[in-house]
Amino acid sequence: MNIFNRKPKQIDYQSLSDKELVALAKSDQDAFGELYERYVKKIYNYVYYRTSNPHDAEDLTARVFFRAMSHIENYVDKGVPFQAWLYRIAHNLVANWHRDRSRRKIIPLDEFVATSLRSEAPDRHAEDAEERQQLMDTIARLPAERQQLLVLKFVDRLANAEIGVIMDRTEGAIKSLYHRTLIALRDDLQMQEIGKNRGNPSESNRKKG
Amino acid sequence: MANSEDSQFDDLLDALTDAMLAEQDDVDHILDRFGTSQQQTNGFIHMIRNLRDAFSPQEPSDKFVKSLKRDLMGQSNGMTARLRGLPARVQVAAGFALVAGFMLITRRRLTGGLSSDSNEELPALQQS
Repeated sequence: MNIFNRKPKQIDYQSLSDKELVALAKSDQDAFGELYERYVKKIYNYVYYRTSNPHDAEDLTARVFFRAMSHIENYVDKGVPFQAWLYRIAHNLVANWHRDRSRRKIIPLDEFVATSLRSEAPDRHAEDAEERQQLMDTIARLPAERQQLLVLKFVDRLANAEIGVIMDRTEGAIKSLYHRTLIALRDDLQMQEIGKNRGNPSESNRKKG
Repeated sequence: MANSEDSQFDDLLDALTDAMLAEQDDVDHILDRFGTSQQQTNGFIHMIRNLRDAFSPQEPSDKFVKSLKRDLMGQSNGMTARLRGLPARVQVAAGFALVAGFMLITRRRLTGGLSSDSNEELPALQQS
């Protein structure tokens, strides 16, 4: 073996699985860089919809990756894949963030629904946008775990099995929780409609007015 | 019995959601498969569609993504990490240079350097 003629090893990180990258990332920062590229947008989206604004989303996303990087040497895949581990870090940081602020979880839809209202100027879209706004206000009143489920399903588009690993529940339990969440949303929206029709709008509608 | 109905409805909602997320708004074939109708889904289809539309993906700024990566990569840029990044022959050459330098310094101290230093110091000590 002539080591003097050996070229530096070129690793095609993109072709590696998460598991392989995690093993490399314990001693190779470029491997962690690839994991970062794979998940930064997903984690940002998750945090964005669990916090109030893009600035907090950026701050918490940065903390998620710094924490992951500093603990990756100790990470062992005991049935919790890297992606789920990352989301768990994000979930814990978001929970701490809410606790520190001691305020209710607000999904930042005000901002982007308002943006879509502006961009979709025709009147026929205004009603849809108002309906969506009402839906998001209702979601903001759901318990944290139900909000988490909706974000993982609709924003990060994860499968039930993946969500189950993150939330430490079975796939069946996730399906059932999703069902109950939709029922709760539907009932709350119906109550708001009834309130509107009686000329006695719910608290959220009064806020909007 | 109620449990199995619940479980079937869980599966129906799941299948409807998957279809909506895949932008397949025509879900009649799913309703047929579960032997149900739009009316029986009690407004769930409309709500799932609204959820999909409301949770539109957000893009972090490029500036943020690049700057965070730079910060992360810079963090572990210690001496060991830098050495690891060098080609093998450069690592070996650096190792040889270090050992040779160390041996040279040690040899000078133990032989020539030590004897000449002690000879120069002797008169000075005697004068004082």
